[in-house]
Amino acid sequence: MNARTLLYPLALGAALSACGTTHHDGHYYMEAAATPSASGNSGAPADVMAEMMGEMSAEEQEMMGAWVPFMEPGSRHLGLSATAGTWNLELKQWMRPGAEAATSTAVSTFESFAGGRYLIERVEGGTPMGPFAGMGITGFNNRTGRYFNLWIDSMGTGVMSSEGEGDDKARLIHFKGTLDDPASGGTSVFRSERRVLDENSFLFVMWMEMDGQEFKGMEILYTRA
Amino acid sequence: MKIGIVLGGLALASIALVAATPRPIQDALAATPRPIQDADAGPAGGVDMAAMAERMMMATTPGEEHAGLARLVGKWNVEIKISIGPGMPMATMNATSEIETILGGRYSVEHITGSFMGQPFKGMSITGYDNLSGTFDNVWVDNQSTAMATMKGRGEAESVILWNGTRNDPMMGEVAVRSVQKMTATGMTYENFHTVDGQENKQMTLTYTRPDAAAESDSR
Repeated sequence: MNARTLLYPLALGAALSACGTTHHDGHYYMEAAATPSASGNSGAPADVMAEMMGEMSAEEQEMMGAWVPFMEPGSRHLGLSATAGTWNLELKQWMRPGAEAATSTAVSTFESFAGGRYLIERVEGGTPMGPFAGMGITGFNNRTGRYFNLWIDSMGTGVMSSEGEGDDKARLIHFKGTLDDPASGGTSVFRSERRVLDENSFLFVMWMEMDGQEFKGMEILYTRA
Repeated sequence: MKIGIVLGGLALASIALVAATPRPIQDALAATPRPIQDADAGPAGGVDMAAMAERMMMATTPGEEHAGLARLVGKWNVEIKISIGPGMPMATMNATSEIETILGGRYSVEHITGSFMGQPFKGMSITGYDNLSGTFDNVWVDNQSTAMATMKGRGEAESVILWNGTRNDPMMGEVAVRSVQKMTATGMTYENFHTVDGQENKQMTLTYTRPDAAAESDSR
């Protein structure tokens, strides 16, 4: 039995929080400093920290070394947080390959959650099928180095989840995921892309599959309201 | 089949059809979306369109499981007992929780706020019931990591949900987790376990009580 397997992350995380940014390398510290309100952790008095460290075994200190970079928001989170605010959406939708695009508009509000670690989107509007609302969570997992997204909306009861890689140079994130497919009763795959155009606009594109063939199903231009 | 997928795609792609509507729209959202005919799709090619539409309706309409989740709406006091090490007493964290339903009652969102060892704790979870797969979904994010934990649940008896999923650990990678959620007339409990090296350990127990019930018991 390995002692570390019994330590719950919450307890450890709290201990880490109490230690403030002491163990951060410059990279993380800078980002934490850039979002002082976000972290919500003001650090603890030096004596508290020393006491904690004194009680920790070498193994526990090793854990702390692993948890700090795992739990602290970094530049990717800062990038996501920059989306906070209200956006106007211009949407294009294609029902199948070669179909004419259906166009419409919507409004989304983004807010960052839990110290800038996650970005939450709420969209509202209406469709020919009735009123529509949706909610998404986007984050960047420091352990895997991958972005993740979860999407739910009023047009279903399942969850749509995807994961992806970021390309900092191209300012885009590329996701791959699965969603409920009422047609088959199972799930189907999709990929999507979120590309920053400039400080006040970004483009979301989604490709779906039909009969094993990929086609562009949706394109949304987000412009800051 | 093709048309079926088109219909199915509507559920997802409907975001593209969004137009401005007055707020609030939560009440209106509770209604089942009307499947629309795809005018360009041509003949149905033997596909039973009525059955397809029915499946789409079934997929999107909140049912008794969603009504069950809605009963948890409101404020809670939460006592969290945390295992912090072998042979050590359980640590206790007190938190408050608020649960609300969103998106026309299709999902519930919980916000938990507390403090542990003097540090703020903040978490959020989303719970749903997927009519198509017949399973509950849960995701969890908090300020103790940058990862999202996901679980799938199945109903057991009338007021028990057995959850299974994974969480991220910076040293152990993906760790299998299990949770037993029991709902009673006055509250609910979660018992959380995780499995490492083939060994399952209890991580924590969460006990939910209504704030007014706690006040009542204190005044006695």
